[in-house]
Amino acid sequence: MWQRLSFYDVRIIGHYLGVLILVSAIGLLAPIATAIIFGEWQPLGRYLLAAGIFLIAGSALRFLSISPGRLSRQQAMAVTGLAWLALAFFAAIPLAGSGHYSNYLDALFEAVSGFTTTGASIVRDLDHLSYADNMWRFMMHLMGGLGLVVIALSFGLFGKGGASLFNSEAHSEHIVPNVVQTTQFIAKITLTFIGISTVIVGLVCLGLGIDPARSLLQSLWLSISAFMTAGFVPMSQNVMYYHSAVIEAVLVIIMLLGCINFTLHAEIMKGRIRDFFDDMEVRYAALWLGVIVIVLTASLAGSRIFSDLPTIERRGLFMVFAAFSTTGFQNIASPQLTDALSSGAFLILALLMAVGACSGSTAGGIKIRRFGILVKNIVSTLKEALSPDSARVVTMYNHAGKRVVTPGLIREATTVLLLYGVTYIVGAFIGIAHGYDASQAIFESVAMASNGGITSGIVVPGMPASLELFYLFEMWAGRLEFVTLLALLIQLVVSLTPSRFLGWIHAHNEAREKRARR
Amino acid sequence: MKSPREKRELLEAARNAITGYTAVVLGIVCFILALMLLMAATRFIAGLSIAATPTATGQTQTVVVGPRT
Repeated sequence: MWQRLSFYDVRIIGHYLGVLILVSAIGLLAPIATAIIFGEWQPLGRYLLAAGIFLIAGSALRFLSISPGRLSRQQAMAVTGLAWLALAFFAAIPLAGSGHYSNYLDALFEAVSGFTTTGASIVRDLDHLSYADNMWRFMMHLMGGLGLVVIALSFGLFGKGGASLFNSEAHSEHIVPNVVQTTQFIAKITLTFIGISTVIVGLVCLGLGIDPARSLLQSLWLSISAFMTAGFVPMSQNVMYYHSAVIEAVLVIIMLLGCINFTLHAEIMKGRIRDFFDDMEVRYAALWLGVIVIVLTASLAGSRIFSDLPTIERRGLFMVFAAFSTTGFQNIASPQLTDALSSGAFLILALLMAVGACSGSTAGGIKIRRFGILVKNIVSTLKEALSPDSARVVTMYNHAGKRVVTPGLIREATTVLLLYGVTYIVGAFIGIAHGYDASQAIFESVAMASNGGITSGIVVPGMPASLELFYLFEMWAGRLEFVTLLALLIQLVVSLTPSRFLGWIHAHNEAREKRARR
Repeated sequence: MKSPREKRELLEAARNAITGYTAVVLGIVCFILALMLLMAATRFIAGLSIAATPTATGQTQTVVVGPRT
């Protein structure tokens, strides 16, 4: 039943991993250029070394198979699943040498957090991190948010295997039938919005008195983090550093644009505004946010510090949008999340991250679409119960036109919902086992698995290594929405299990089935 | 060099995109303002509820810390 990976498969997977590593090396040009412009010679040395490592490793892997041919679905899943981890391993090398990370594991955590657009940072003394290192952190967000496979496909690098890879990276929709054009569209929209946001935020930063070079860099980084719904920030005080309601307002709009399905972006670009406002996810998201805002406000009304209306509206609403979009910006300090916010408000933020935003966007979490499908399923079940036997109930939903709710969609939604739920709970238990408060452990586990990134104080330098490794796994699993990762892990286990042992299991299962049939 | 037809199509696509995104951004801004109104209303009702909740009245206790002089 389970297909083993053969040596031929390993060579194909290695070849495509090599291609992705080589493509990712292009991202190193940004920190290298930054280091040269700002005269940061020590970081320049590190990034040139990293570029060399990327090129050597990528080229060596590519030569495992000279003419690889078409990718099978199993190979595509393995490439996608392994790419995120492999790239993080290499990306952590320049960070580890910066002196801002306690050890290589912390640098690896930062790299995984960057690529998976979680945004939980474990860096020491962020305010004095070099511009080159910061540029690399945000380049990881850009590459990870777009999708490593998307970037490679937009350059037409994967040839005939593209569609399998695209789907296995948790991209559920093709905006146009051609996968390469879809990926190019996603890249163009992303770069356009980042550009516009950089200009607006940059002008505000200049108005605040920040010098032009820093204004440009910080606005670029904040814009990348906001549209990719990622969460890294250039300063340790997060967005509170700027003391600017205007910047927070612009970031909210960019975060919300970032968590819109890219298919809807295509409809908006064609001027089909009605498709956007009629979309099931948009409507359910609006309803969900309305309910959350009522509950959050009622909860905060009784808290110690955040009970007055202007504070609730500015800080509460910003945190709601940051959690909903799974960006992870904070205008409330991490200790205040547990000390000053009411416990209800704290858990509401966790729930927002857990549910997440729209599918087919840069956002994480379970996604509104899956809840919408399950709600439609409930309505459909009730309709069937109340209808005559001869009636055939068909449930539709709006997403760039009318679509049917199929059993396959319901099964996928239920499966992913369960997998996320189990991961949140297991992560919480592991946090509790490390001695952390239960609500904090739940919050942090949800933040990692949903790639939300708001941290309540567990993810700090010096956190337990075992917990750090589990959170690393949660971020990786959440970004791939579990199915790809679990399929990869099963493939690896089956491939590494001796065939005699597998044969024994197979014979044992067949004998049991024969006895059951008798 | 783009032909006049291609230029016209590009202009129309740009016009559609600008119209579309202006409408969406305005929609988002209106939604945010609506949420702020909702927060204000909820805060007002919650404030009334908090004010109406009777506080526990009890004797105040004087706590002496350290030896009496």
